[in-house]
Amino acid sequence: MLNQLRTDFYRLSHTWGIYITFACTILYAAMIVINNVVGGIMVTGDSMAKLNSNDIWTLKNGLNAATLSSSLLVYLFIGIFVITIGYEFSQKTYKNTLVSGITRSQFIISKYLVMLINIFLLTLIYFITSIVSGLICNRSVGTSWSNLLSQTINNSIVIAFFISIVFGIAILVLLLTSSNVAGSIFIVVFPVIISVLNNIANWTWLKYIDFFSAAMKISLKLVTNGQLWNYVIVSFVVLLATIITSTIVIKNKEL
Amino acid sequence: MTKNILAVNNISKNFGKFKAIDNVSFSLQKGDIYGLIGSNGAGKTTIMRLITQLSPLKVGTISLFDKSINQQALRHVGSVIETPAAFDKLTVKQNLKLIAIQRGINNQDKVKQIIKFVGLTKKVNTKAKNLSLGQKQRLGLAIAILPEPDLLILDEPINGLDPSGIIEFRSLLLKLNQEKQITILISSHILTELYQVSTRFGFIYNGRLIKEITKEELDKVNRSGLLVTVDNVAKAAQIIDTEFQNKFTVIDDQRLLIHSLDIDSSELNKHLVMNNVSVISMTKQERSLEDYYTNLIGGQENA
Repeated sequence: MLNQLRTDFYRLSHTWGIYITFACTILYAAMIVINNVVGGIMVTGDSMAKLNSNDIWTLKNGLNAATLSSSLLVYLFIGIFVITIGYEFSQKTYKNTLVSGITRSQFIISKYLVMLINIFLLTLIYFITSIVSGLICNRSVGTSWSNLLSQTINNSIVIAFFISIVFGIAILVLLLTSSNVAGSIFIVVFPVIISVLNNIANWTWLKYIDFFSAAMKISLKLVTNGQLWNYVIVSFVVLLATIITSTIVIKNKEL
Repeated sequence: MTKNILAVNNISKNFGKFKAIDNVSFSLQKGDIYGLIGSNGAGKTTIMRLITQLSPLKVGTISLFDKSINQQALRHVGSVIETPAAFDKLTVKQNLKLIAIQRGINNQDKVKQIIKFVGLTKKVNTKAKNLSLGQKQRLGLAIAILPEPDLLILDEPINGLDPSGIIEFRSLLLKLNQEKQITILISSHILTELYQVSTRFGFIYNGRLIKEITKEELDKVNRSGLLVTVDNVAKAAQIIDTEFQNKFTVIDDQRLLIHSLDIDSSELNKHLVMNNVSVISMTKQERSLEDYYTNLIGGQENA
């Protein structure tokens, strides 16, 4: 499986798409901090107003703004899904991969891990860019450096993990439909559907699979410890179920 | 003792109500080049997909290297099924380097050697999407043989190759088989080519394996070979037996048929004359694999 991870990283490093994603991530973070704007599909007017109330943002405000705007990262990162697993199916190179000695479960897990690691690194770059942009604008830290850096790491882990769950489900959609497009559309539509359902239906359980809101709430420490564990457990269960189902599907699929 | 590289036992496959493979069994011993012959939709590709586990096997068993097939055993298999698969946006070299990493091959020279071996040296930095169909076939073969497999499975590998490409491909396969001892399972519509490389043949018709035959048996049945007419058939037979080791059949008191078209006829003529055997004539007698296939399938359709 380690060889498969190395293979995918080699391939990603030789693909323009990953560098374009990298550039877009940096631009997006810089744009938020330099222009003092917050965007994203789950951002409420209140949270935006709260941030905008500060005339001059500190680095911490910039980091919070980047966190609130992170729901759009999922769209920037779609390329990672397409390059990592989509190409395998659209170009039928899985025929080479699956006779290389790895099991179907290792194939699914390695693809998930490659996406998770890439998403984490790009998210980290996103937050670091927000700090660097603030520094370029001569802004004060707004908290201690250690706090700021630990929040950067924590936010990157939390947001990358929750984004990766949606990508994990997208693998299952791709396998079920044999369509790269269907997998990508799922990534685009999933947060919107959850957000819309959240607004119109009164299903309290929905908040646990509203992964992007959960990521932001956890990052901004808007959840209690008890709720945090509920989010974490549900997320891990969904992820595990997705990986197991994907393995069963690929084992029984006419490839 | 011959070693079983691949053993396919009573496999069947249904797609809905359509029976694609019906109780097929065959085996490959080390060094075989096994030609799978059948019309479109006969089931050749499905058999190859079942062996490589690209299609789930529900009925029957498949053993690789005397063990039940699993992912680990597939490490020793190289394959090009349906169309050669490579990443479009990567170059020939990058695609092969990718396979080297995937298979844990650290020897960097090996990629260069394989590129040279398949004749893609001039295309080393060309992206896969810009290769011609023939070049893609070569890249597919390179990807399949890079890990030095014990078994090579090739589905219609000659498709898209130009005449000189076909000749080169044939010599490549024979080189792989003879120099690297790779056992090969190959399917092709071009029966003349299949005849030239294969040592055994399996005929698939409507998902069933209707006949298996060695090349030697085929030549015998087809009475293909070199027909030699001499004045002393007993002495000629003795000379051929001791000097050439080729199999032959004495037809009558003047004619014998050597079951090989590869024998050097001028050398044979020289030996016979030097041993006081008068050679009246030597004629190549050929009935092709296509004739055999046509008769076999014709018989099935009339049955």
